[in-house]
Parts: sequence; structure tokens; C-alpha cells
Amino acid sequence: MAFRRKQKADPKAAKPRSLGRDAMRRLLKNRPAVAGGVILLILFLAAIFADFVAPYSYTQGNVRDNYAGPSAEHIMGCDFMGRDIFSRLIYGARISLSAGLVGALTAFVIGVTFGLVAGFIGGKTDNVMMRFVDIMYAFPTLLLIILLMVFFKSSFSVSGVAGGGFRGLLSNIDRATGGMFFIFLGIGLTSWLGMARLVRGMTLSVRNTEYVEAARAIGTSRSRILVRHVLPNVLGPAIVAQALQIPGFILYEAFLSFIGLGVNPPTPSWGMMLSDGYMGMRSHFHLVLWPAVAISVTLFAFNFLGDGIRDAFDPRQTR
Amino acid sequence: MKRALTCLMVVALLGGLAVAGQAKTLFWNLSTEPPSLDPSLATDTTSHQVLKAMFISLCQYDDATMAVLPDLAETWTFDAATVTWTFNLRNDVHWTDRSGAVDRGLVTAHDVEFGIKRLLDPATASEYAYVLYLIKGAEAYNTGVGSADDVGVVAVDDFTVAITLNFPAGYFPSMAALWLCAPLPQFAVEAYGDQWTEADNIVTNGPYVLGDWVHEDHLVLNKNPLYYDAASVKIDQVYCYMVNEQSTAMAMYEAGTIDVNDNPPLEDMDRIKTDPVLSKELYQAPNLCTYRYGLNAAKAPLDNILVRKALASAVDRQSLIDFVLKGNQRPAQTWTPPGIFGHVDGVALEIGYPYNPTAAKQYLADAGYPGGAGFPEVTLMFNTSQGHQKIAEFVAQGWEDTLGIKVNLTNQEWGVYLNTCATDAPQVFRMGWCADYPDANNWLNDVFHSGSGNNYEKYDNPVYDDLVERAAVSTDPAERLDLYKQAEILICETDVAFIPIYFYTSNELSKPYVVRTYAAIGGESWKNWDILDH
Amino acid sequence: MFQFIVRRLLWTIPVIFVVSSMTFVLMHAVPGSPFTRERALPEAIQRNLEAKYNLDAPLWKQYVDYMWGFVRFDFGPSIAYRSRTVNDILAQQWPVTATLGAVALLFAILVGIPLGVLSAVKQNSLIDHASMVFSMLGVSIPAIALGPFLIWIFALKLKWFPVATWGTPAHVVLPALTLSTFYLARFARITRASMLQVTREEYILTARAKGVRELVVNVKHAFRNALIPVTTIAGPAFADILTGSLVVERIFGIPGIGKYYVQSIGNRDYPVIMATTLLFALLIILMNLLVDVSYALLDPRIRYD
Repeated sequence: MAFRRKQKADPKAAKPRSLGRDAMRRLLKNRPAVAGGVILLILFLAAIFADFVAPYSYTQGNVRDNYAGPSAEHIMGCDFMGRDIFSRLIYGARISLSAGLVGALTAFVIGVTFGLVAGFIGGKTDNVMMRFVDIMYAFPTLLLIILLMVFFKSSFSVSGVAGGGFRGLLSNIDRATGGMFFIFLGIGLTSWLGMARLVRGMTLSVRNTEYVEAARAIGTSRSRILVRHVLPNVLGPAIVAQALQIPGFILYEAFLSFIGLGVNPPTPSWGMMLSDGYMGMRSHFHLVLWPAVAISVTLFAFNFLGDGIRDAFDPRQTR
Repeated sequence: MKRALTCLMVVALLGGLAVAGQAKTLFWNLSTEPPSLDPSLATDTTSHQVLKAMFISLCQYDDATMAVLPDLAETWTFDAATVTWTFNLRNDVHWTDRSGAVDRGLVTAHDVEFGIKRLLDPATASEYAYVLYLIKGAEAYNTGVGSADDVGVVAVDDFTVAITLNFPAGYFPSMAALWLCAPLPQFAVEAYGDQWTEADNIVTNGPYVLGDWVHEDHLVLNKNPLYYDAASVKIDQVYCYMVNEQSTAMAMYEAGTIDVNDNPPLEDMDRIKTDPVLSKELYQAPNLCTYRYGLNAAKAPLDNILVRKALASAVDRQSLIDFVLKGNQRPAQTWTPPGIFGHVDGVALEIGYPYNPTAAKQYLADAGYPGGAGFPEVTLMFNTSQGHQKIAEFVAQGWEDTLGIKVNLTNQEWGVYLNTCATDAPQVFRMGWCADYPDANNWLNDVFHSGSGNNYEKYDNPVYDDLVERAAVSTDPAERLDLYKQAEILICETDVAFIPIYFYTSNELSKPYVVRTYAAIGGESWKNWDILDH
Repeated sequence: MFQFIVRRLLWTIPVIFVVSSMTFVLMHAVPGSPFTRERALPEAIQRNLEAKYNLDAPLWKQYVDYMWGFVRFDFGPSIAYRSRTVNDILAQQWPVTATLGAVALLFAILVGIPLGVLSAVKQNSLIDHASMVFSMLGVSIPAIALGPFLIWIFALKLKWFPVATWGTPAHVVLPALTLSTFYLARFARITRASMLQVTREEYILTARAKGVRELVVNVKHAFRNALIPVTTIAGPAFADILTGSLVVERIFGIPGIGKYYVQSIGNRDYPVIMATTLLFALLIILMNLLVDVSYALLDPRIRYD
């Protein structure tokens, strides 16, 4: 499992902008990537329209059907409370997919901003900021995330009636999202470092290119240079790099569920279903099988699509 | 095959203690590394299980009846005038080192005196020292006010120890069976300090000696030839693994790596019960623990007793047990479990609230929330664990379905959870309690007295306090029984301070060749077990 | 080069200092104490315990004492395991985790890299597709499912390996396999990708044009350069494998340091939290340094001055 962030996209590897349509054409010709994209599209639609797609509620079940195997009514069987596993998988996609996306997005926003600022301002600021990244980099992510999660859960998941102010707001958000919020926060806060390094590196190289020098020479303002020249060049590779990280975030969610820091029941997530099920694997294999398949298929799809996008943006790719 | 190999390896390690075929080895899973093998410091069941094999205390419990039996002390007498218990010790108990071959001297009354005084020494920082505060001068010494010399424990001669109490506690011999009163080897403790329990340093006096202790991996106990009753100890060696993962331990049991699995995963219970082999190896017996949902009556809407009654009536305990827990637990409507003096059968006597959806809806309607309309969201919190989570999901779903209310489930990590429950308990929270000694005083007084630190419900009713206080000092069993019944009715039915859920059972799998006893309290007695040829 | 290494090693000191300070603050910010019990301890007992473990001192004093201990490599006693010092715990549990991690990494490299090379050389062949599907599977099956599954198949059904615990080489196989699949798959994929990229570089084309034999081209030129990105992930991967071993350690009942990770936070075993953080921080720093050094050795264009 990828517990640490690392980013190794070759800065030369992608020069998006002008190549956009070209890349799209290449991407569409890449069959695994298209398949991945279609699968993901279906998954996302199912998650968004879970209320219409899922045959049953994710909370209600007949406890007498506990651990029931697959049948005509319950195609994937039932869990310990007789709840339909297929329905729970579909609702669970909401959590697991958003864990992937929101985790990546948080890391992306923080990382890109941080890297851009450090790289663009340069000098002392850059030095201080990057030293900070170095220090955070040395922090064992797992330890940090566990400490953070325990801290969040104790400080903000207040019991009973939520308090007011910032604390109350956070706790309400967390409650409304079934405990997802702090998972995202925990994941996001610990995974932006690689992105920051990557973006800073690219910003530095773009900043020293001839056309930026030229823009500066004709008196373009710094913010305009940042937005018009640096950002577009940095964004493409950063997006690609981050997309490749999404599977890691989905696995993260599973891991957090395993150590008891997952979503609040009865909200289902694939990680939660997996860690609920693995203990009884030899008695009720379907408990583990379906969430594992769901996670695998999703990661497959993300990986195929991610590889496809990266290849499509690589101008030297001939295929 | 694998097992035979391990067995051979162990035997080889022991330097040919016995020929492979003859040595009887019990393969056991401790689940975790014992946090401490120091009788003064150990507080958990894993450590106590190992201590029970390595040390003896003044008295011991009978496995089945929990009666107090002689161990180091052969007889004991009480002198009311001086409030002193006098224990007469055996003169044939030896200290031995880990080889079990080297006699390190007799266990004497001085060792008992040293053991108790070391426990009370504030520098030892023993968690359970307060349990012995009933000994004269103990509290003063432990809190740094008094001195060791004023503690009422005196070795009258080499084999007689006199313990003077603050008040005549008739139950003191049952406390003398706890590890707190165990004799300790002064020479070893002083030589090695905190590390005296490590395998190389330890000196013991029980049926087994510590052969090997590889932290987090395994711990080997070998029969102690110098044990006073060595002739009746049949198992030569107990090889303890420390596998915490229930499903892995189950696999090890099925593979024959361990001979006993005392905690099979509940997901496997259906398979165990229907499997022709495993079903015969399963043993289910009551366990002296009760599971409860505490209620915070200070928080709306639970400040309304009708709401509490509604919640209590809407817990389908039998379905929870049959379909979720699957361990043959017993539904609880009262607090003290069966097997403990002072238990009243709440189900038979109709004390407390059985599952009754109609009554529950009525209570809620009477409280002003017909069909759950206008009922604020209630939080049910539990400490992070899959078992607790399953129960919480079931109970919460039952409440939502029956009462039409919204229940918010959250969990916190154990340390944080206890802190939350102590300072700002949610409306509903999970708690459990297990017996320290077999008397309802340990349940009704120790937990729900208004002054108790275990009273997370902050239950405060002077009538109740009076009942349990009177029961504590009464010597008439019939009167005590009646007082405890009144207390149960008051707390579970009249005031609904909490919702009793179920009385635990232990579910244990043992291979057919293990001849064993089942200890009701305080860890298994391996010294009474045997392994048949297999 | 030498100067670079020395500078980086010196830089480790402030990093470790900041990391341990942050851990100190964070762990004290989490509610609960090492002596939080379901059966609340009387105050006098709490005081005795706190005095014994120096927790009654003001926070700054505790901090200073910890730091002073660090300097002397004395991490103090464990609070949860009362007969053990943290130094003992590190000395006994760390080698187990390190062994498991090293075997897993070795396995990942020895299988993953050849697999990637093979896929690249036989691009779009059946072998390529099969190995890529295999490695995708490796990346996507979480250890929580894989571990118990391997136990089921290889220990219970086939009886090839022991179910769990530690001690003989046979005990290492299943946990190392569980731990390594993710990285094995990553190595295979990255090796393949960088091989493919390198083979399109001009010097390779030149070599081919000059009639150098295909095998020599692949091994001598392509492989060597393709190793660069692989190396960059190998170092952090090792740190990952080690810090990420706790799931595997738990499932297989392995006496490693990983479980102390979560457990010590649960127990509020402050000295153990501090020591494990320090250990892993050091490990991560050293691995990253190693990567940079090997990077320079493999790619002569990179200079550190």
C-alpha cells in the first residue's frame, strides 16, 4: 500500500496545452484506458444515483437473513444484519470514490499552491518553505495520520448536541458526511508533499524559460505571469501525477477502516465492508469477495485511465 | 507435521528435557504480550493467566465454585479483638529460578510481608494498591503520608503472617487469593529492579517456571519440579503464542497449531456450530460480565424518563443474541450476572424492561414524541471495535425502526472514549463490567454508588446509595439478597439509569485430547489439566 | 559528493528535532493519559504512577527530559509494558520488522524488475499483458484481504506454510508475499514504462543502428538507464514497506515494531510513540539520501556540489 507520497513524473513528460486534442485522440485509441474510463463513469453514476440504482436501503435488512449467501433477491448476499451487500457496495462507492477524489483534490490544492508560491517567489521564502516540506517528508505519515485522526475524532466528533462556532461546524460537517470528512482531511493533510515538490520544480524551470523572461521584459505583472504562463504549464503534469495517486487514497480509506478510524456506521464504505468481512472470510467468503472486487476493479480502472492519460500527453508516445 | 516440527524445536531448545514423544505440551494463545509478569503490577487477564502458572498467593479460588481454597496459606484465623487475620503458611514452598532446578530458598512469611509492602510502596506505583487500603496503615503509606513500618502486615515467624485491617472484612480471604497478596522474592526484586520479571532474572514459586519469553512472539512455561504439588501437575510444558488477530488464531486452531481457542470470531460461529468436528469442540459457559448501554440522563431528551423507558423497551436482546452475537449469551434486564451472589433473575421476575415494541412506542408517545415526531437526534457512542460496532448498529437500527427516531452512531478510540464518557458522556454509551470477586457489592456498589469512579451515568440516588451501603455491611445473606433486589429494581426499572443488554458467555474451542477445567474467575488452572495421546 | 552526504546528514539533526517536537505536542494534545482506565484509578494511585513516569513534571520539563534522553539514546521505560524499556522494545522488535521488510523488498525487486523488463522487451505480447494484469492485481488487492486469503489457501488448504507467527524461514514467506505484492507490481510497471521510454532514446537507436546485439542493447544500455526511476522509488518503498507492515504484522502475529505504532498511541505510551516516530523518521531520511546518492551513481549527468 502506498502510505507515502511520492511523485516521479518526469517534468519533460508532458506538454499539454497545445497537444490537448492530439492527446485526446491518442487516449481514445487506447482501449484499456477507454475501458477504465467507462467503468469509472458507470461507478460514479451508480454512486451519485445510488438511491435509484440500489435495490435496497443500506441500513435496512432482515436480521434473519444474516450472512445469507447470494440469491435471487440479494445477488451478492447479505451482511451480518441481513443488509443487501450489493446495495451497500453501491452506497459504499460514494465514500470510497470520494475518499480517492477528495483526498487527491485536497493534496492537489495544497500541494500546487504551496509549490507554486515557493517556486515562483523563490529565494529565502522558497528555502524556508521547502525546508518545511523536507521536515514533513520525514514525518512517518502513518503515525501522523493516526495521531491526527484520533485528535480530530476526540476534539470535533462531539457527543450529543454539537457545540457552536468552528468546532461545531466541523463536527456537523463530519456528522453529515458519516465521518468521512476527517478521513479526507487526514489523508489530504499528509499527502500534498510530493505534489508540492513536483510543482515547485516545474515552476522553477518554467520561470526560467525564455518566454517568461520575455513576458517579464515587456512588463507583464508577476500575477499575470503566474496565471497565464506558469500555471498552465504546471497544471497538466500535476493533474496527471495526482490522478495516478487516487488508487492510493482509496486503499488508505480501507486501511483506516481496518485500524478503526473509518467512517461511522451504518454508512458503508468498501474499506469498512472489507474490514468487517475479512474475519469471517472462511465462513462467509462473499463478505470479503465483493468489496475486494469493487476495490480492485476501481483501482484497475483508475490505473488504466491514468496510464492512458499519461501516455497520451507524452508526445514521444507513438502507439 | 508443522506442529511436530515446532514441538521438536522446542524440545531441542530445552536441552532435551524429555524425549519428544513423552513430554506433554499444551499449545496456547495468550492473544497479546503480557504487559507485566510482576504480581504487584499486572492488571490484565493475559498477565494474570501467566502469573497463575508461575506464582502462588496466600489463597486460591476453586475453578468451578469460586470458593476460597488454601494455597500458600494452609489455614487462617480471624481475631475480632485486634481485627487481625493470621495466615499459617506451608513450609515446603520453594523459590526457583527459570531452570526449575535451582532451589533459591523457602518461601516465608517475610516474603509475604515484603510483597504487600512493596505493592503499597508509592515508588512501586501499583495500579491496584488501593484495593488493599483496608489494611491498617496501607493508605497512609501508599499516599506518602505514613511509613512502611506502620502497615499492618507482620511476619510473626517464618511461616505465620498477621494482617491487621481497618475493619473486620469477612471477605478478606477472597482478597488473599488475588495477586496483590502474593509473596515476592526480595533478593531478585532488589537485584534487578523493574526488570526482575524478565526471563533471565525471574524467580518464581508456582507450578510452572518461565522457560523462555521472547517478547511479542512466544512465552514458554515449563513444569516446576520443585513446586509443592508437582506430582499432580501433568502437563510438562505450556507453549504460549501471542496472536491477537481473532481470525488468525482461529486458523491456527484449525491447523492444529494451538490446542485451545478461547475467542473464536463471531463471524465463524455459524460454521463452528454446524461443523461436525468443531461443534463437538465448542464449549459455552456463562462468563461473569455484563454488557450495558449507559444513559446520560442529564442530556435532553434522555432527561425525560419516559424516553429512557422507550429506549429500554425497544432493544430486541434475543434477536441480537441469536442473529448477531451467536454465542448463546443471556438477555439481561438487570445488572448483576448469574453466578454472582446477589443476582436476581430479571427476566423471570419481570424486573426491568423486556423487548416490547408496543410499550416502547407508547412510552415515546407519552413523552410527547408520538411516532418519533419532533424527537431530536440521539448519539450512541462506543469504543472502536468491530464487536461493539455490530451491536450498536443492531440496537440503533431497532430504535430507528421501532420508535421512528434518528440515532447517530460514533466511535472513539479507547483512551479518548473513556475521557469523553467521564467528562461529557453522550446520550447513550457502551460500557461493560466483569467480576473482580463474586459478590453483588462488586456490581451494584462498586459501579453505581454515587461516589463511584465507575459510575459514568452519574447516577445519584440517596435511596440507592443507602440500599447498597446497607447490603455491604450486612452479614445476613437473606437480607443482603433482598437489598440487592430492591437496588436492581430501583436502578434498572424505576430510574432506568442504563440499559442492561446481555450477560456474557465464554465460547471456547478445545481439541478433544485436552482434558481441562473451566475457571469461572481469575484465569485457567493449567496445573489441573492434562493432554491425552494424540 | 562526500560533502553533499555530510551536509544532508547534518541537516537530519534539525529535522529530527522538529519532528520529535511536533510529535510531542500532538500526542499531548490527544485527550486521555497512559493511566486512563475503565475503572477509574483513585487520585493517589494516579499520582504515584505519574511520579514514576515523570508525568507530573511540567510539560516543558518533560520535553527537555525527553530530548536529553534522545541525545543519550536512552528512550526511557515503556509505560504500558512495565518490565521493558523502550530501548529493549526497539532492540527486540525492530530487527523482525526489518527482516520482514528486507525480504519483501528483495522479493519485489527480484520478481518485479525482471517482470517489467520482460514486458517491455516483449511489448504487447501475451507475456506483457499477463504480467501487467498480474501486477495490476497486486496493486489493487488490499493486504487486509490478501493476508487472510493466503493463510486460507497456503496454510490451511495446502499446508505448505505455517499459519502465522515468526521463527523459521517458512514463517516469513506468506507475510513477505502479502507485504510485497503492492511494491512488486509497482516495480514491474515502472520498470516497463521506463524501459519503453529509454528504448526510444536516441543513443539506443544509435546503438541498434550500429548493429549492437539486441540483448546487449537491452541489458547494457536500456536496463541501466531504466533503473534510475526504479531506484528512486525503491528507497521510499523500503521505508513504506517497513512503516506499512503493521497490517501484515497484525494478521500474521509477527513480533515486529509495526504494531507498537498504533498500540502505543492507543496506550498513550508516550516514550514508545516518541521512539517509533524517531526511528521511522530517521529511516525515511536515510532512504531518501540513499536514493539521491544512487541516483548520482547511476546517472553521471547528475552532480551534487
